[in-house]
Amino acid sequence: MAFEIRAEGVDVELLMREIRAAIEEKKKAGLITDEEIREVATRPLPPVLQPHDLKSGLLAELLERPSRWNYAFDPDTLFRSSRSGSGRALEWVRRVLRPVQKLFWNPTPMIAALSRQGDLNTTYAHVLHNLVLEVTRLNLEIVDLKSRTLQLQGRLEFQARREKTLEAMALGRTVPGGEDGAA
Amino acid sequence: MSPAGGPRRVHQLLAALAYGDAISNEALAIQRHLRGAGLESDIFAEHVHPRMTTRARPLWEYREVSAPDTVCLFHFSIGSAAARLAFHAPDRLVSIYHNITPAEWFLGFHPHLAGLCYHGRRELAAFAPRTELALGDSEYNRRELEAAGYARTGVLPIVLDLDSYRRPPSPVARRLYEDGRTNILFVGRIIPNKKIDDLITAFALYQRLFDRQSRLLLVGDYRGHEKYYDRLQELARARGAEEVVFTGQVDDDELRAAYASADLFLCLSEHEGFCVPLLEAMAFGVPVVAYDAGAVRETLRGGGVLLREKPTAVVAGLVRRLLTDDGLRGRVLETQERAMAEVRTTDFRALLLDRLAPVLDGAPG
Repeated sequence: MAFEIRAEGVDVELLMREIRAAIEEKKKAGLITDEEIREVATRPLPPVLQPHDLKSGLLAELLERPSRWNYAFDPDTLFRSSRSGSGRALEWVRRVLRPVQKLFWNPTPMIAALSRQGDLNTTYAHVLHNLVLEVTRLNLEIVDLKSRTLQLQGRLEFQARREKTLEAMALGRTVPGGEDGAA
Repeated sequence: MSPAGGPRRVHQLLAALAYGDAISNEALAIQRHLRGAGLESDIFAEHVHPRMTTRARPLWEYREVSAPDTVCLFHFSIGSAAARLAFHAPDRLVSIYHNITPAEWFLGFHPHLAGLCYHGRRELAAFAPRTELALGDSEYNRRELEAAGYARTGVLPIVLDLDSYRRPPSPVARRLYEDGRTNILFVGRIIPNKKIDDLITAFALYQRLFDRQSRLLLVGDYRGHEKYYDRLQELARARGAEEVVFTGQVDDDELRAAYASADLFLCLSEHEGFCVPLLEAMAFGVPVVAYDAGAVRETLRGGGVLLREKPTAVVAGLVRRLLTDDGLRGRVLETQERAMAEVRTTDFRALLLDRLAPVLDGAPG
């Protein structure tokens, strides 16, 4: 039994059956469904996420394996080969021919730009991470402030009602034949 | 009466003497009865509410009365200067325990308070060897004291000033609440262990199924617990509950108006060390429905309706039944009258002196 009443002449079991029957009637009338009752009973109040408690693992994750999203670029990167055995020979040929190649174009500015871009990518990851964190924090604060505004609105309405009651009572005392006159 | 040769000075130490707070009222009642029994008794508090400044002395003056033959009644509180003073003073220490809410209740909403409560329970255990006698205000609290390692324990129930309930309620608040709506009342701080969320959910269902013209009146301070309060407001909106009124902390006359206007008192709290509002509701003749948690059962003393579980639909149906079935309501009120008769006949002074007898009669233990 869901409850107990220590009073004489109260049949708790019968009372419980009647209560359940009353709820069944409401269900038949379409006021509520079993699913809604279950949902109401099982949904807990979610805990509050405090903006200052917010922590992100994004940056740590990015820095852990930078090769997945960034590249490292140094002056030799352009002349390296991805092949293992024959690659070493190819790299040697490229090194030997580098002065000749420089007669046709200057790769140094490109090497410097790509290397700089790699560093910038890391910086952007930091900036992006911090932005995401700040935006999320601000979002939580906005939710808080919205909630606070609604509360204040509620309190204001309650105070306005209180004020009207007070006015009605004061008028009742002073206006002869008023709603709540001295009679 | 304290025997000749026993301690003549029994002072109280509190973290805060507040206005309208059950513990502060109890401290004042204890002082009145101790003085009535011919003992010297003052209240020393770390924080004193502006309205109570004539009733208490500042904590730092305690050293003027502190002595090995002074009995110090310390109302246990977490992390206060009063606790440190009580622990280190040479006085004979009697701890009065009003319970500490388990930390887990505050984890999602107030991590700082959760930490304080966690350390508070450790502090409670640390006080055990220093304390000569420990009194809980319910058997439930006494058992917690025993579990914390206190050797000599007892129960000293919270005393109610029933005469004060006869004073007139605030006419404005009464007029405000008595507008034809059914008032379902809860009185208590708006904190997670009181399960105000369950109250709102049950009320929303009651309103939807049975009575659109109803109001849930939540009387209690929510300062310091704004996050939980925010969530509750959201919940009320999400559940479509109208007229969920959070009054905040109210004056005594407004509290009396709330009880006087209430059609039913509903408590779904899951942790209570005593729960004074249950007795107050019974004193005002308001039918009580309360969930059986902590000390609720012993505070009700067989009065009201005690919920063993709280399926929302059943709670809503039961509330409806109590509000519409005069016969059932009358029989429930009879059980409450019997319980209140027990409370009224309790001689608090005799009980207090009996509980303190081991300290007042004997030499330091």
